[in-house]
Amino acid sequence: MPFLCSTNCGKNAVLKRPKTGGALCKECFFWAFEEEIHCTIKSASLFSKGDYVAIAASGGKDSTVLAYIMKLLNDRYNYGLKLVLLSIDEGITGYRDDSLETVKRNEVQYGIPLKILSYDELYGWTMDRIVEKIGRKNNCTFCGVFRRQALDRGAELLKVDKIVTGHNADDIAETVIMNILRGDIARLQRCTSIQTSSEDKISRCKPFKYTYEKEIVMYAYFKKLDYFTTECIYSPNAYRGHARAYLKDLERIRPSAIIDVIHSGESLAIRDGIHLPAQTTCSRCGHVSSQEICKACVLLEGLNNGIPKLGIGKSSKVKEKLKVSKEKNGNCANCSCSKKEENGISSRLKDIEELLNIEVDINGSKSCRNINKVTRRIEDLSF
Amino acid sequence: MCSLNDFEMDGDSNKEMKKSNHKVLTESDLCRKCQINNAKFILRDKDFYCTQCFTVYFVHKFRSTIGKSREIKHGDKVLVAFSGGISSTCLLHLIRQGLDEPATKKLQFHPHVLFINESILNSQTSLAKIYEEIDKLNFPLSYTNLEEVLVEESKEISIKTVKSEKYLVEFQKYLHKFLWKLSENYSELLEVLRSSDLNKVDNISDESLGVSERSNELQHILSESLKNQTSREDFLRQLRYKLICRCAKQLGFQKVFLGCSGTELAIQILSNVALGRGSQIADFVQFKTNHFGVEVFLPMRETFEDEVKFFIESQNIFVPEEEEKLTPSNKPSIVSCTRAFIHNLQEEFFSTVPTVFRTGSKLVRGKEAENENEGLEGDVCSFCGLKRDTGKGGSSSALNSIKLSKKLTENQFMKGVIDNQDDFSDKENLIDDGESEVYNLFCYGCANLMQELDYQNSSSRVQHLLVTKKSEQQNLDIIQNYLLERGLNIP
Repeated sequence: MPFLCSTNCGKNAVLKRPKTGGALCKECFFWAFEEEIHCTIKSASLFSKGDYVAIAASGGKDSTVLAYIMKLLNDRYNYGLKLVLLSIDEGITGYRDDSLETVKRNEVQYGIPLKILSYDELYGWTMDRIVEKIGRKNNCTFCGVFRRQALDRGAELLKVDKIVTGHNADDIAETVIMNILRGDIARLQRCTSIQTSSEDKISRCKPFKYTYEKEIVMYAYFKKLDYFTTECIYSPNAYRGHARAYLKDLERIRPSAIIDVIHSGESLAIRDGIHLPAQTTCSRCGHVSSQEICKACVLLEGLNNGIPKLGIGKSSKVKEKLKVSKEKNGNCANCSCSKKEENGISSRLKDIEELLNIEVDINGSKSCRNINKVTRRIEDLSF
Repeated sequence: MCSLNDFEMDGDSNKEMKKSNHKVLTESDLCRKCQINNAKFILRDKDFYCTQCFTVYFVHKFRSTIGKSREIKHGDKVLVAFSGGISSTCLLHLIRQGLDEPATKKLQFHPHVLFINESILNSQTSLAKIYEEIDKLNFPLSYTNLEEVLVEESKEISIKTVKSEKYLVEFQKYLHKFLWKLSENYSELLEVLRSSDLNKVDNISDESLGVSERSNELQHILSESLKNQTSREDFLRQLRYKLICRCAKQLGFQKVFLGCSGTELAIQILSNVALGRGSQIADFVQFKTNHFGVEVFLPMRETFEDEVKFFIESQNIFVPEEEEKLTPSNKPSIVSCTRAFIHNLQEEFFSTVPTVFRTGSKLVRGKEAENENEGLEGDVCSFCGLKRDTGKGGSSSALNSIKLSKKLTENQFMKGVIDNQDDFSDKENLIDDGESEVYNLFCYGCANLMQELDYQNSSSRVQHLLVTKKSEQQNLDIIQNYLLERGLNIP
């Protein structure tokens, strides 16, 4: 027996909404889906009139639906936005090259211009070559860190005001769980906000924050949108997979679990007196970073100097290693230009200057430990 | 304190700590602490301990948790909730050992054990067995039935108290000495004492409290009203907290000990997040929390499951209830799913539990989640008694998105209305009516439960579980005679 659409429009329902359990017909589902995203955009005031907005496009279902919806809502509600598709080519053969074809088709279908940036031009490395070095484990660390920065670089290049990404409710819930498992409280606090908030940087926002992945798939399916479905060929080894599997189990048990996790994430704060890493800028590339040198630069340094594991593990150990490798190789760390750096007295003096800066930071009880460290370092550097 | 430094809990290194193969103890391995005895246990997959050194380490962890908090004062009366499970059994033994130490190291509080009989959930634990164990440990015991939680707030619930034989014998000896000096009618007094209530050990049986209609009602709520296992377990957990706190109040205790291990807390942290109770994490994992006006302490929070097991093994302690008694059935729930997830991950990455536990300890309720009218009665969830996290917050929130989705799925007329509205704020008002009443009374997690239960039906027993709030009308009634502007008679 066919079900009737629960909005009483008189038509037969074609699907059950995962989010609410209500049965809807095709038209009512389209309308509810679009209206919800419109409300999210409006209530969070994501855009202002005349904004130039880059849509991060991978060719997958989320970003394809995002591009479609952005264009649709922009026209329907007169947002007055100028849209552009921004794609990052990680250089994964058999995955990204195919998905980029989809994005190129979308460019034509939706009439939105496309810009592609590759890891190769930005960093001098493709993911294929990185995986060769690092192996199948941990390679997602590289890809994730690099892509994050690549998007920002691309946005700067295009001089856009905002970047929109296709992160859906499942992705955000998964990130909340990941950050709890990894003990990353700083990110736990940031990850549920609908848009990034540092002033001088181009802000990134997630209009699909409250949209279930299943509904996005249904929308794409019923609208017959052209998207690419293969999983990344390197991803099965990712730690994230554990969190993903767990979240899927939760959803099976209680469909509201995904939005419940997001609610939990939104209503959490960090206890007073807990030290959080302050967000600063990387001393090498000027990007936002919580460390003196940002993760991307550390990873690159490791790759370029033949110690690819450098950036994986404790960030405190990285500092030590960076110094050592610098002295050994003397290569320019930030790019692959392998320009020899001055390895003489001046660079050593610079090192000591850095150490003196550390000494100024010393306060109270920690002084003892740091002084030991400083003396040790000075001994290491002794002329 | 010292114990925490033993773990390497850096988040990023999690991935690197993947165990390739488990270490196995051999005959020749020595304890890493004393370097003399043969090791019997491996902790954290790398440290070998002999029984002696392990016990010292474990007991110290427990005592330092209590000690460093400075919350438990000399002579405090503490109600220790005992489930019969492994960690609360361990807690009782740790307390007993602490009380038996010589005066300088003796624990300085007076424990009293509370057992909640859950025979209604087909739990197999027999009260007699529990009594036997508590009696061996020489603690006074009170017990009650789970369904007593349905008794109206204004009435007393039935709690039976038994004092152990040993306790009585000691008490009598003390009295003997005292009375010997005081009274010549010593034998007469002794007779009075013997016949007194104190001396009588209740007839210990599972039926001693009687099967009441309440048990049927609780059965009904659990099997009929609540549709899925997750809600059932969540509901039961809230009931247990409620009942323990109520017993504590009735018996005159201000402080309660729960025997949750750090592993259990890690599971709770993650499942609270999954249940939408993220804002309440602090209320379930901090050493000291406040529930229904009673101080609840978690003295076992820094110990881990494997350590508790080692301790129980090495001391040959009998555990009355080996099985987890959370579920009346075997269907998967969010908590059981989380438990399996944490256990599996712990096998592979051994810092999982400590990391989750430490993350949870750093979290509190967010400011945005709190209601605007802070400090008012309306700020507290009517069911769990904790602060509500369903305040207005920002206009863009998960809560609002759910409300919107429900509206859009249910009402067609909305379509025309929204399409024609230019001013967005009016739309928001449209979203926010009727439906959201449940969010004005309950926290997010409890609202999920209450929507399944027919909480508004006044004939339903669930009503008794809700914290009664004085309605504005009732408040007006009280002061009515004094409100002049209402045109009332002035005598």
